[in-house]
Amino acid sequence: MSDAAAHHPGLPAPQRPAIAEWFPIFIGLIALYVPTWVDLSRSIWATEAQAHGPIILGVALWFFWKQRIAIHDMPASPAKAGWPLFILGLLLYILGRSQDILLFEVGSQIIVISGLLLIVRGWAALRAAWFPLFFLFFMIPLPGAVVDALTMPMKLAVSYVAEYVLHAVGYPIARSGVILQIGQYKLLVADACAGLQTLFTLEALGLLYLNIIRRDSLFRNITLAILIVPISFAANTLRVISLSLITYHFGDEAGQGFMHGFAGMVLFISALLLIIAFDWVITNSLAVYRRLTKSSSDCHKRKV
Amino acid sequence: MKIKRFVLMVLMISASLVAALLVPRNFLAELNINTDFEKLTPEIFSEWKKVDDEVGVVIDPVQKSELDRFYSQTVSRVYANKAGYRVMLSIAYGKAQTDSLRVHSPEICYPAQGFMILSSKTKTVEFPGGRGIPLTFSVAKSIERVEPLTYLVLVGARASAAGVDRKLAQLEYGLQGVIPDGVILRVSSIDSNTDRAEARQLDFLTSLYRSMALDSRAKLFGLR
Repeated sequence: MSDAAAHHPGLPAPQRPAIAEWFPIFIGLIALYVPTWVDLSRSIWATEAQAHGPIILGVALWFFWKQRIAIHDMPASPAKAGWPLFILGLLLYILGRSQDILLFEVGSQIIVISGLLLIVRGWAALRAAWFPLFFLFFMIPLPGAVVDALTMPMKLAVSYVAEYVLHAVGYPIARSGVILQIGQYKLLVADACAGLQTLFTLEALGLLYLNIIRRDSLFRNITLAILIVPISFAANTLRVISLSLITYHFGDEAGQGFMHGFAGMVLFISALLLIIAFDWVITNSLAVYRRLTKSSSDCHKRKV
Repeated sequence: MKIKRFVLMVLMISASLVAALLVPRNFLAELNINTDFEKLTPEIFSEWKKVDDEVGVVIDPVQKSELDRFYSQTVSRVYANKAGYRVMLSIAYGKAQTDSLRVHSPEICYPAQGFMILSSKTKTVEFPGGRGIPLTFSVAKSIERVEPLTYLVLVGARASAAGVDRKLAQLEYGLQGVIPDGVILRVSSIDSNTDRAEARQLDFLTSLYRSMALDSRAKLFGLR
């Protein structure tokens, strides 16, 4: 609280210097989690399965940053649950970081930040930050068994559709499980090609898109968020199809080398285009629907 | 108000330091430094006999100095029983539960080579002498073949099933400041009759167990 402001009744409500208040907290969070992020970037974030990690972190931080003024301006009404939650978060961090349990180490971010918000501002702040906190769940690496269980059906489905389409247009292609045989080449549809990672990344980018291109309709927001799942599936299938074609026409080296990155680009661009296209369709359908219902109610009013 | 912020900051910085201090530092592998798994594993026992086959020995490409050689070892052999049924034995030893050892885990190793894991189950089998050892039985399939496999994961001296159990075993050592070494012992055969494969592989493992001396056996099968 600024003493100068309190002594001058003419000035607006005392402004709490934001940086001074939050600076120690940021230092603490940096001490905790920068080592975590550095280690993640050196290990699993480099793998295809977890490459969505930095994107999730970036998007979450962006959402926190967006809420910073709203949260800072809230009156301080600390919640009792704050300190226990904060301490619990720190204990999970210590256990997770020292014993190499990523679930605890990365998951503790959510608990520690929630605790901090409750201690420094209260429940209203927690509510204001619910979205980036929820988002941080996607940063937690899932146990291998869970990932496999979720990824395998998706890989099988993508392989099935890719084979079906290419076969329908006349290519010599066969499939066994997630292995495609096109001409004399064998391609393995790996996790990276059709896995959870691209789904998470696309969901993250999709939600970011929704937040930047804002529209007021809850229907549009929820529908698009859900549609990203089939869109991701379609984009993955397109990627597998294009890689199969590249390998068939230009050989193994082309398919596995530089073109692999290109195919990844194809995936993201096609997914983003689909998201924008669906957004256009939904928004315009909503507008047409509203105009129709509005004009019919006008009609009723004119009756005498 | 001011004090609260500083207390929070100090607590967080302390947590970071405590976490760094508690990281396990002592390698259990120091105790196993003279173990040669190639020499340790018998070539003939009970009904089974090592066969010289085209499979060849998989040499770990990450071998550096003579000292390092003992810290990461692999053994790869083919055995046949009296009826001519062949199994492939693979033993991978690593000085820590991460990196090189993880790579040999069948749930990672097989899919990486283009296999699909059709099924996987854990069973606790009673070995001669009364000790119950958790084994994982999986069926892997590629375009050319079906390969059922049975494997055992050792974390330090403790045999565990894959997954959470393995993490708990690692934790048990970690909380005492020790980094456990590990062994993955795997038996597989190319056989589309998975029940028969399971029985033969189990027979191989129990015969191997029975034929080994107590201290050598402990290196492959653990103590508990």
